Amino acid sequence: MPKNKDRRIRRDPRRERIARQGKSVGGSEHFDIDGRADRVRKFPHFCRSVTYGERVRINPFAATQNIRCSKSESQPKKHESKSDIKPSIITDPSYFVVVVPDLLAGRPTDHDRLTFSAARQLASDTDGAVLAVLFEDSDFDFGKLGVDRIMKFSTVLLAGYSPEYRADAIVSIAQETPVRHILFPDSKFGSGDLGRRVAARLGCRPASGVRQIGEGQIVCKSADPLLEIHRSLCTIMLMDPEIDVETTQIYCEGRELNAPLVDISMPKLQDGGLEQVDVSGIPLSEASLILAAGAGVSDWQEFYNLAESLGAAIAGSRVVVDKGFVGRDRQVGASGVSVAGRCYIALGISGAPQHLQGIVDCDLVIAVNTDPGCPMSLRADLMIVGDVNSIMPILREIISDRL
Amino acid sequence: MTGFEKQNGQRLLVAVLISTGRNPVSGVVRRAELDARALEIVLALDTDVQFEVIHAGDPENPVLKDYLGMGLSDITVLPCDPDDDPASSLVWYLNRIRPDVVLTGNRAETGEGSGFIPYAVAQQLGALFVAQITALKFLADSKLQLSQSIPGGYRRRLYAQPPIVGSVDGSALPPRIPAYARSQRGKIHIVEAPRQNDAQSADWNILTGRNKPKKITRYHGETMAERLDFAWGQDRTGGTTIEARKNPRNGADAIHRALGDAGLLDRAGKGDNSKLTDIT
Repeated sequence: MPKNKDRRIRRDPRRERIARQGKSVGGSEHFDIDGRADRVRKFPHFCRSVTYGERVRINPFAATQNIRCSKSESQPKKHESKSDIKPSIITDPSYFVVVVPDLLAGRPTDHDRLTFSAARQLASDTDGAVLAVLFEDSDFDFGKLGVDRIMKFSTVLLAGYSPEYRADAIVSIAQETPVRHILFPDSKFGSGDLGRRVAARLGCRPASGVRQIGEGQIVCKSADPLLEIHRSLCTIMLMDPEIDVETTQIYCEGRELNAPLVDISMPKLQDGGLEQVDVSGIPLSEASLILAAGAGVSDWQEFYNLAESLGAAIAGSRVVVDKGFVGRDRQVGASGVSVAGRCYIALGISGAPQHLQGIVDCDLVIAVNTDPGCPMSLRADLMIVGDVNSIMPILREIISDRL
Repeated sequence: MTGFEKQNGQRLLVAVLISTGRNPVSGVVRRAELDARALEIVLALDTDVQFEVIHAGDPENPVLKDYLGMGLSDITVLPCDPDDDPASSLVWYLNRIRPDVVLTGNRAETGEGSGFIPYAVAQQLGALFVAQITALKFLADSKLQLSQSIPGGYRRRLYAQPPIVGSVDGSALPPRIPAYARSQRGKIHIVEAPRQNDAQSADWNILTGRNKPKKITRYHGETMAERLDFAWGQDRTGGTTIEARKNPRNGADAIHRALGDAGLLDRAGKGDNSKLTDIT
């Protein structure tokens, strides 16, 4: 567009009329006495600022510079690749804040991540470093969570449950390196137990259920849900899953250190392996594999047999529980149990919103239904369109055959 | 000599440590649920084992009647003030009676609730500690067989030599309901143990806490409708679909493959509940 059009002066006909009549003109400072404006007209096609998505917005402040924004410049910044980010390196820390995470299948849980953030917050104020102690092999990049050093202890030589060995390992770290705090996630996966064992061995009382960390002060949960304990920091702290801590933004080194040698003597506790458990007796909130029946199931004997051969816990939607095929304590949904297992197999369930509320936290959902457009198909990771009662016996046969 | 006696002919002794509980909603004083479950494990033992129930606290506590109502002949009380550290009195007394097994609940329902007392007691007695016990069995050769609960509803078998200290969590069997007549028949024995003031908790501030808002995952959706869908769990658009109306075997195969990929079947493809746990 020609440039003179951008410099057009805006005219106010009303002011001009009033000025011609000889009367006084009210207010605007943008117009001089005879109604001619000193404001430059903004040409809308040139002052475009594109926001996220397709909606075009006019940015009035971009007009004077005659800015033409391209769509790619205004996109949100993509996450920089690892090679672009320089890790913050600490060469000579004066003390360590040790973190002992749970790790499920080599990856840190959400509770572990919160504990790492808390450790980073404790170590960042002064010249400290975060040291992570791992008891299983993991290729996860712990530098992302703000970890400066890693020590790995191998449990290859020790098969099975060995909390005594792990407690010995942490105590030997505490004796050899300058450790100011040892943090554990207060979880049921072993770290809560381990933290208290280490505290007993070192002879110091741990702070359990830490909810907030401040300047030398922490806030802990007490047995009474209405009360909180405000106290000073201590060496061993067990973090609550709902701890209020800022997520770590610093990317650190995560260098591996040599772990001290720990004596693998005869363990006093002998692991006898897992016991055979009646899977149907496992509470639904704890079960890993759940087989749920809905209105589409008519061959009930086959359903119970399939659950037994899969080793899955039985569950049902409201419809089948009301009819009595499945117990009330096995109802999944808004007015039933919320399940958080690794796999949920929904047979003949249409997927009413109240039922879907009960399976929000399930990892893998497999649905079998004759209706391909049912709401359960949107939730399911694997949707099988077919008749449940004909698929169940075939599945049981496949599983029992592979003995 | 039967299998349930020690080498020197003494009978095996189990000690159960009990405490005061509170109803979490109403605050009414009642039995501590986990301590009652620990006591239930001992009462349900089918072998004839000598046991002693110990409480460190107020001998006039009405909760002791509830425990007596479970069928106990007596409870040993070590008088303590609320400011005292119960662990020191308990350790003094346990060193005198030298039990083979000490059982107690995972956490207290009053006070700090750190769950540390069983560990401190184990350390000071020189005993082995085992967490989350659901069952106990005495074997020949004065060995103990324990059942430990692990996440996922599974049980692990452990073997240990006494003395051990065990903690009990909510996966143990529920306790029996107290009976009035039995609570009237039971007796309370007071043993004066040396008391120690809990110096470490003297400078703590116990304040009323407010419920902190829960952290939620923010979803930077483009429109408000998308953000609401994410918040309500309706942002899913579905996954793989397998057509199995004509051929149900396709569906069964797909399910089998998905379960195998998720690691929920063992190598032979059979359902095996030992592989469902994530704990090594």
